[in-house]
Amino acid sequence: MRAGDDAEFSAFVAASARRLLRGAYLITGDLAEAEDLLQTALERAYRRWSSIRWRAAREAYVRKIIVTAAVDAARRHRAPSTPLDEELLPGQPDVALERIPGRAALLQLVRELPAGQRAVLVLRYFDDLTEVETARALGCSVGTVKSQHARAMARLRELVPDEADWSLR
Amino acid sequence: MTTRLERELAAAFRDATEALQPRPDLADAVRMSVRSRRQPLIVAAAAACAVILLAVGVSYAAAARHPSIASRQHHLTPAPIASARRSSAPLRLSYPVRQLAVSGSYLYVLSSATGTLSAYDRRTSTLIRQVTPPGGATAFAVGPASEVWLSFAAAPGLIGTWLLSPGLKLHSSAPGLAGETIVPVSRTAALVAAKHGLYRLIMPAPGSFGSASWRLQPGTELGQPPSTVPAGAQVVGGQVVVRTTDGNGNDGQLVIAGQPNVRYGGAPQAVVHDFAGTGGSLWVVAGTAGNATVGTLVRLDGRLRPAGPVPSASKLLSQVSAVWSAGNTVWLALGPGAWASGHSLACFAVGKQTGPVVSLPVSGQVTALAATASTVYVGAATSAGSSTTIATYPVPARCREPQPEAGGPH
Repeated sequence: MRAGDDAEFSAFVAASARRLLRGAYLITGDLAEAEDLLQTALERAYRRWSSIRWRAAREAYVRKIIVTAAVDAARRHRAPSTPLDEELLPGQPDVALERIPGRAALLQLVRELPAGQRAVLVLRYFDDLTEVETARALGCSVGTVKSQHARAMARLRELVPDEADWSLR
Repeated sequence: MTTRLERELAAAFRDATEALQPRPDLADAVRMSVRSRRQPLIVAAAAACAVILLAVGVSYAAAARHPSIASRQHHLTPAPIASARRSSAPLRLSYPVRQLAVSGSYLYVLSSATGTLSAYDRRTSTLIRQVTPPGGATAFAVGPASEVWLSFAAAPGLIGTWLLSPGLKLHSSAPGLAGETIVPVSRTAALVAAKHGLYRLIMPAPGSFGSASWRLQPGTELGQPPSTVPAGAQVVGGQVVVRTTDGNGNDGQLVIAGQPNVRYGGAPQAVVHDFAGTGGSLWVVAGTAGNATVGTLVRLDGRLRPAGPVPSASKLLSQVSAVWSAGNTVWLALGPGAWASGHSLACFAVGKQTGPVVSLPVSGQVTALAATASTVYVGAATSAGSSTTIATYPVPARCREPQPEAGGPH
């Protein structure tokens, strides 16, 4: 790797690592796993840095590695139920903070979705990708993205009965 | 068209990860990892070449045998990463240190320049991990299960507290609440002193999904402004004692949370510079408004009244700049008059007999200290004040006599 590439790599990590980590965390729900996925993906990118020419392509490349690995890992370890530990539960919500527990509940619902559906939601609503870009990141067809998205949203609406009355704020 | 559910999803994703930061040395860690995996391949290739060379001709191999092959292999073997990063004690840091803490196998160091919290391996002085929250950390505390609480304030409205795993690898976040002082009370709960009293902050375990919550504890009021900006807190005899200032670090006073009329200190005569607790006693560095550098060590009881005994009269006790406690040992940083003498740290044990005061051979201004029962970690500023040396010393026997103090007042 040339010295210029090394500097470019550092700049890329500085600019993109936080966004990629946030997305990885939302898919995995585990910060340690998200950090490991990010580092592994960056190592793969670093090895073939000179062949990934465009910055946008670089981030897409790293994101694809992370998302694919996260979804695969979630499918391999499909036993996500964890015994509730009183000490690990957040305290009773403060009245002044009503909207935060509401969003926490929403996140909890998202966590209960299958990994593929969860990844679609994160890519669409956190990374702000189009359906086509989401399909590329997941390595699947646009039709699959649409169906996964529709199932995920239907499930969220099923668990949250009336969207109109849902006062998160 | 964007539905409300879609908007809320986007906001929930954004909020849940707002405080996440990748490790600061991520790019370097990636490079190091890639290179360290390449090295064994290089060594293996070199070894294979050596075997081929040996097979080509006995005479050539014999001529090349010991010196060249040995030196080549030695040259190709990478230095172990851990030993390369290991620094021998004392630890020399290129920044001023605000606070130290020791817990389990870790020594925690808070930089007052950058607000970065670093975790070092106590045994090897190896840097394990560093975190820098937005705007830098303002305070941290280590809880009963070695979890680390850390508050930060980047800007008005951008404040928060993190709860980190002991190695600083995982964290959960409480955006919106920060304090200059944090008193952990369980693995996931802490008291944070704020202007109007103590907030009980409950957080998800480090690395877990979930939201933090906090509420003002009834009956913990600290009194009326302006002297109610908390700058330190200790649990003494089952009560939370808070040092308050006027917001600029001046006019230090002590107040018991929930009993705002029980106070000690205040300008102009007995300004509280610092304090620490042992059992039911408080050890207070009390100075005057005109001298913010040093003060006299005063002992208070649980009602914030002067109490005895103090260690036998020592000139050192009127030249104290900071005080810490660990178990029944009180540690004193001495003022500028002691810096050049090479004895700027002193300690004594508290019990049935308090004292004598023992000085330690430490040069420079002691800015931070953490101690276990047998070892004390001392951060001393260099003469320029821009860097710090952290040295370890055994706790002198006369400072760690196991003399249980009488029960604290309630």
